[in-house]
Amino acid sequence: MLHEIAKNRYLYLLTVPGIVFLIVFNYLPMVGLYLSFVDYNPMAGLYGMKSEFVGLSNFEFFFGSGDWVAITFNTLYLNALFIVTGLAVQMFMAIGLNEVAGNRFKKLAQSFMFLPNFLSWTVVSIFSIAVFSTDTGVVNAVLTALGLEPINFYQDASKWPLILVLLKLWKGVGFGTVIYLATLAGMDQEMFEAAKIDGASRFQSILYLTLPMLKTTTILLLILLVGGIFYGDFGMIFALIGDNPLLRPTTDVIDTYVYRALRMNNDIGMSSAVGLFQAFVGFILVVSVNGITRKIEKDSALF
Amino acid sequence: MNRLSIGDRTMMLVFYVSIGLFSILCVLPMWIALMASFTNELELIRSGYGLWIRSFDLTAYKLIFTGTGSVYRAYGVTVLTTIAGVVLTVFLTSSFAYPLSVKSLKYRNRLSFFCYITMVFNGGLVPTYILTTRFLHLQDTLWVLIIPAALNGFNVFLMKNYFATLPEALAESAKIDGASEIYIYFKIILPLSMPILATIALFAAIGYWNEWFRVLLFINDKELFTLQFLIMRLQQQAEFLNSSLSASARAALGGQTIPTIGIRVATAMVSIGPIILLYPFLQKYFIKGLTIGAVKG
Repeated sequence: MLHEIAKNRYLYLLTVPGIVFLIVFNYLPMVGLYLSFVDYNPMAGLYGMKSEFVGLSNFEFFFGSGDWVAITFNTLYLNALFIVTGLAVQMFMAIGLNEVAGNRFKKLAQSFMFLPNFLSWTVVSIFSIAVFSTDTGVVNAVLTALGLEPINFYQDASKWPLILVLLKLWKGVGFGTVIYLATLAGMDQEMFEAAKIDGASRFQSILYLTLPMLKTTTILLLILLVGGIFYGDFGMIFALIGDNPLLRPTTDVIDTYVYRALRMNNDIGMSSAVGLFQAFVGFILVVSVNGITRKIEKDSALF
Repeated sequence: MNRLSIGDRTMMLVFYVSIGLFSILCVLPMWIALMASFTNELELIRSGYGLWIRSFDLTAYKLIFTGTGSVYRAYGVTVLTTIAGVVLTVFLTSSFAYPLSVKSLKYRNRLSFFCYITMVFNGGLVPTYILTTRFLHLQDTLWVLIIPAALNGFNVFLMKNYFATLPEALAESAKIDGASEIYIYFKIILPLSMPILATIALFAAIGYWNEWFRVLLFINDKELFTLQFLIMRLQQQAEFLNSSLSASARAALGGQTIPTIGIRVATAMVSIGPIILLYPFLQKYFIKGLTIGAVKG
């Protein structure tokens, strides 16, 4: 082994900063997972390393509290909605952009669609207020003009899964569309010519030729996204909803819950336990979905 | 062009309308906010947000730019961390990814694996928090906004794929001519990799510019707030003040800038200013970079 490293020593040297970085910022925190199993006492020993081992009681606390059902459901439900609607709309937009004529229309549309992606959720929350606010928002202005009752969005939890999906789509579709467009651009045009000669309509070509072509990309994206399904989009939810307790029933996800537990109650044990839970389940999911994909569609698998 | 069938024409109509509508919707909220930032505060409270400026007023912007100076500070922090962060990211990512793409390197697959594991498994919020504050003492410093975000598996993946597309013959013939690996990396590989370096730099720049989560977790010193965090705080303060505080309590708060609608929207506009101005340029590069990654990946 030393011979190999000596032979290519400068190349291995180049990797050293990256290795050190990964060890410090990614692998060392993994060691900290032991915090899930102890009753953290910063005074006990060096950096609290002698804290008392309490086995699974941190986990019991989380699962026993009853809250976990709601927030886990919210996390999974919202993420599933995001994934499904996101992929569907991105595919639709990409295929659409590929089909329409008019270069200027295409370029302009793409520019507009891509813009929200560059914004931070904090800025989006300002826009969200401009649109959904009860007294001053645009939506309610339109509703009132039509003679309908204004809707109190910021106090009605039931409306928010829909609003969150819409906002997520608004912000993210541009990005995914570009990825799909790249795949579409690489498609073999001869196939479509042949189909046209055979009398297929454009719609049929899309259904039977284009869609199967996008399968590989979709599955790849799905594997990546499913791995994160237990991780709520903290940035999005915290920026949009902040600390509004009225909206928690449908929007509180695991990450916001843990954040509150950490900041308000300083509950290190439970927060780490939940973090471990998320990481563990996420890992299992990625490996399983990848494994299943390997069996069915070998080319799409991640590893 | 041939006559399309009824089905096809309907489909095209659907596409045109949906894409058109969606594109407009993407820009509309920003337009509304922009209009609101130039509108008189009382008018906003009275008639709400709208598509046009009903009562032109520069007060919000004046307040921001002459006020407490927090916007200037935040701008400084944000620009500084973005530049430093982008440089660090590009350097760290490329120096790590290049050896991974050299086929003759025996341990490169193990190193790749070492990196990719971090994409699917991590220690979570708490251990990272403890590491950063108790062990590394990075809280309330500029470094916490620059260093931890620099390297991630996804960027390494993209760069490695790009480097792999460069012909091996290049490095081979340079080696025959007696060039060292470092020379090859700096003088041959990097200059040829401008597209991917630009893309990663762009990804990183957007990330750093929009950073607020790390400020939330690790920073209490208001000299070190970033632009987006400023907005987050204005939102929180507004919420707090709009709840049932009595008039006297509000008066007692005195010198603090009460975040009115106008101020929040104007601050938001100011924070995304550079992004909007640079947008045409950013967009072109972003798309080019993504397509390189997507086609290979």
